[in-house]
Amino acid sequence: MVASTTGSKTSRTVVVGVVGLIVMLVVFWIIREAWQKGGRPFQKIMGSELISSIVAVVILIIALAAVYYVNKRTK
Amino acid sequence: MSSTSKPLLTSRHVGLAAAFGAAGFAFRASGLVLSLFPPLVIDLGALMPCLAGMAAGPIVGIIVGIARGIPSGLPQVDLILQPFKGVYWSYVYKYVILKVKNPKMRWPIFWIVTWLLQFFVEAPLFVFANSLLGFYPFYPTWPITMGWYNAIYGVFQIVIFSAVIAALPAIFGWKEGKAPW
Repeated sequence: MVASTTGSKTSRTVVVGVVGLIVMLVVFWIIREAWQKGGRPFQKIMGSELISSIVAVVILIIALAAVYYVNKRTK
Repeated sequence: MSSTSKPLLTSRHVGLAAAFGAAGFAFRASGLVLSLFPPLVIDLGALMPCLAGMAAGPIVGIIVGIARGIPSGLPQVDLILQPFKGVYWSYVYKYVILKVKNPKMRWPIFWIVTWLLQFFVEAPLFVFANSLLGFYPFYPTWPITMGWYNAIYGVFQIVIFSAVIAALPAIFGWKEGKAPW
């Protein structure tokens, strides 16, 4: 009983997660069509490729922190 | 007798797909790239399907590849090839790289496989797809005209993959030598 309750709770979480992923991809498509249109709007920030590169590294670190957190919470 | 089958998607898969997918999209949609030396730039978003495939398997690699392909300038190419990268990287990582049990040997093999996959799989696939769209002929663009770019790009890919795996070995099952998916 407990196991099945836990199992159904887990599968419900996954279903919600999959729906969330689909919503995420739809939002990405809307952003593309409404704003980005396949371009590279921030390839240079304030005219500098160096600043752009630094921001890219910062985003990478944030993304990896998110990955670490997700892995820690769900393994 | 009880049989246990691995679920197709777990909360770990979903969470990692969201994290890697958001990063892949953010890099390409914003246009933020690492400028190495002109005209060589590296789009970190293009590495996300590979990392996601290694960390969480082919299905997550496909989802992240789609997220990376959506903001592409050529979505008809990237929406097919980026997910494909996630698939082949996941299997090569699990069934080739992690099969090397000696960690000291695994690193150089990982570097060699990364470079070979970049130069002999990823690069020709993208050059071929672009040649179908009429941008340039497949040969000699690959392996001659763009060969220097693909060769150097492979080296930078090695550096970034190694840094990420060394920083977060548990996510990739590196220490255990077993893919966590």
